[in-house]
Amino acid sequence: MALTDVEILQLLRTDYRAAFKLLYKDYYRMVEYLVTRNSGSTADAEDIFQEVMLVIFDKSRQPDFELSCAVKTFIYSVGRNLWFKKLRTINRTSNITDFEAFENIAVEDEPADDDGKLQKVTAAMQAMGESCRKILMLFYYQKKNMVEIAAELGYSNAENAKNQKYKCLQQLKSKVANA
Amino acid sequence: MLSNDDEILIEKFFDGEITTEELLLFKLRISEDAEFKQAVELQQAAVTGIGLFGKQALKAELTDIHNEVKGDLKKYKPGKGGASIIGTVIKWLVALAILAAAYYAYLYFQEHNLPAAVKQLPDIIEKDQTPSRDTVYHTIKTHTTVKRDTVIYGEENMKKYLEENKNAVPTGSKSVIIKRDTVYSQ
Repeated sequence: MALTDVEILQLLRTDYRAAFKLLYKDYYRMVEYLVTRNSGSTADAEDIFQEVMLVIFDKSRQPDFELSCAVKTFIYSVGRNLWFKKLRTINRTSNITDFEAFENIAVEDEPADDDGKLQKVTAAMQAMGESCRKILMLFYYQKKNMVEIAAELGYSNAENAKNQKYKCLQQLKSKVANA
Repeated sequence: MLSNDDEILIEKFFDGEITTEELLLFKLRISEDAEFKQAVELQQAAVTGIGLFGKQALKAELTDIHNEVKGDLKKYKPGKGGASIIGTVIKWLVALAILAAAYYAYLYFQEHNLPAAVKQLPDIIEKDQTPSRDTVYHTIKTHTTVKRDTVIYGEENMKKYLEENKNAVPTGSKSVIIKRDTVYSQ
């Protein structure tokens, strides 16, 4: 049975891999159609769809986020927005042929890394142990709370998970500062 | 070196657990203490960098997921705002129809704005009055309606024609008059 949009959003929070599979099955071709019929390649379409999934993933982590339109429209609109930006960057065209109704959904730009510090952080993350990497990602990227993290990583309680997260973050900062 | 309290204060700020009182202290420490400010900036970079790392990791997962479901991707049909092949063909056909209608309207307009004298010319052309190219060309250049007109030419023919058709008007050439409603293509 097909899930409703609200259920898909919920699934993104609880089992994002399952949710992504559904979204790929239902909407990948739509974004591919949009990109390839607007001067893009299949590889461009794959990149754009991944970016759309990252956006919807981030949004699903925001506690006050509510869909203002159908998931399909959301995905089409974000994909359109991202592809439009890319087309303008490479100066190919500023026109897009549309195949669906769309909404203006703001998409944040990547953070600037003028002093190279972010690069250092990602390199330090790569060099950290698996358990530290996981706890930091679960908390800071996946926005899970300590109770969920404790359950997922097998800590006896949220407080222990929090202490571990603190230690891991200190370790990360130390690596970055000394890099 | 920062105190443990400072470290905890910074962590509380970034984890969204800071109280109003602590926030005031946090702001004060930033404005007063360069080392504290530097530590805050480092924490900000760490949190942002973890986010970037998380995205990269998730992209790798998405590539795997895409490969897993490649065989199950649903076909896509463009929606109402879309331009399917049939839709595109229909659009072009409509555009062509509009252009054709405009062209025929133009011809119709020209036809009905012929000089009155030309309109009155009778529809009779003798078979042996086939024009030469030079004569026809001259007629084209001297009369705006000639494109859709048949040419009657030759000085003798013209004189004869004018005698029989008192209302007919020469086009300016000594050897040519025209009759409307037949198509000539050069």
